[in-house]
Amino acid sequence: MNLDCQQVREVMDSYLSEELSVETNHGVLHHVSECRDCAAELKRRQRLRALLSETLDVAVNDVNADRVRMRITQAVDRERRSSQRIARLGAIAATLVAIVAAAYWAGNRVDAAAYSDSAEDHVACALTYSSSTVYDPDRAAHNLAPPFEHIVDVVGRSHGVYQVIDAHMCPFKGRNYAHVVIRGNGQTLSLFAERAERGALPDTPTTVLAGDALDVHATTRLGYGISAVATRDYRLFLVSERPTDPPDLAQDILRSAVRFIRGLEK
Amino acid sequence: MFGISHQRREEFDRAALVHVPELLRFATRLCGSADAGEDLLQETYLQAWRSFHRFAAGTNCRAWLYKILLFTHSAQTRKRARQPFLVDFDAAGEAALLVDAPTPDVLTAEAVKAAFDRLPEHFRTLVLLVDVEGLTYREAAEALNVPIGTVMSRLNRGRGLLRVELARNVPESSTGARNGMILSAERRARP
Repeated sequence: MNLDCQQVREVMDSYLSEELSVETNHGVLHHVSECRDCAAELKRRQRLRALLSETLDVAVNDVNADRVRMRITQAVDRERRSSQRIARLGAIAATLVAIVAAAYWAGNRVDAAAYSDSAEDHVACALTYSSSTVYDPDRAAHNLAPPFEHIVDVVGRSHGVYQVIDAHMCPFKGRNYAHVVIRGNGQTLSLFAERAERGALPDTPTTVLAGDALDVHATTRLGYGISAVATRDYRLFLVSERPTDPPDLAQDILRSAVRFIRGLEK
Repeated sequence: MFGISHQRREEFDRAALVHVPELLRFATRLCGSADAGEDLLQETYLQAWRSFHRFAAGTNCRAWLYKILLFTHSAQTRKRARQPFLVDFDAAGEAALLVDAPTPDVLTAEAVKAAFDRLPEHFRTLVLLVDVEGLTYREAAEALNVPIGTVMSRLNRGRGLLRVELARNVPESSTGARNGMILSAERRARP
């Protein structure tokens, strides 16, 4: 490549920085071998480059470099520890928020299927008893489990014309009911007791349980009347085909069941 | 999480801390004092550590560190904190005419230092990066976050302006101007 003086001087510094292509590099070398002016200018620029480095030289010996490296390392370590502390605090804060949120959710959740499950179990279980079934204390004792072994003793085996014909633990849709089957006046009643593990009872019209401060929720599912009571740790459901005769007999059964539950909660 | 942090720290030591001597020299030159240079370098490395998760292993860590250093310096001096390397073209206009200014025959360390100090900062930084620290044009482009063509043209102007500044302060008889190359507009206008 043939270069003139102007071209050589334009690329002379890039030549010194070794940034030229091989071809242009040869062009510069060839030109300065024949042009004294450009060769002299090249030497002056080399000298300028060397003086620049020399003039701006900063003494950075190993001791200095090690000291600064140590200073940087310590600063980075401090930064790293600080970040880790922040990350740990963040994780703790996130856990606390999750716990509070879970507690809030647990405290506010509603057992939406509470009434319909009791009605369905009444149909699936209580209504299958034959008309000749009579209460057998041994069978009941065998089929009940703690803490409900004595539920019939407290509720009572008879309420007017209504007689308890069986009691057993009755697993149903993930629930673990204590199921007392009562019969009288041409209908079958179910008294269900379960631990309060699924949240509050859904809102329904309520009345006050006579002789107690508890609310009695009254509703209907599958054509069956349901009276439900929520205590601190348990739920009670009385399922009937029609109102009892006399009407406050249902309240009597519920009240005696509440008495049993209160005993468990002590 | 903390295991990852430890591994990242080891990678940082391996890739970045080896450049401390070179960057310390550059930072000291840039700031004009050893203390200020050390402070700038520490802040640079802290910034680098905070951003190290974005650094692609195997790429040019040296140029990446220069880039952070220049940004940090720019932010510290409150000059063009968000604009890495903008040139005041009005001020640089004359310099553009001087790219072929010849180098004086007689050069002294004092004259070179004085001429270098008179360069506008953006030219001074680039000359320092390439002609003193020995960064390639590509590394300088990466460090300054500009295209390589921009580095080349600005470097040309910076070097030319340096020669003009040198020529201003040496006897006329000792400049290569006698060799018939282009003089500055100012010199041509002189009676």
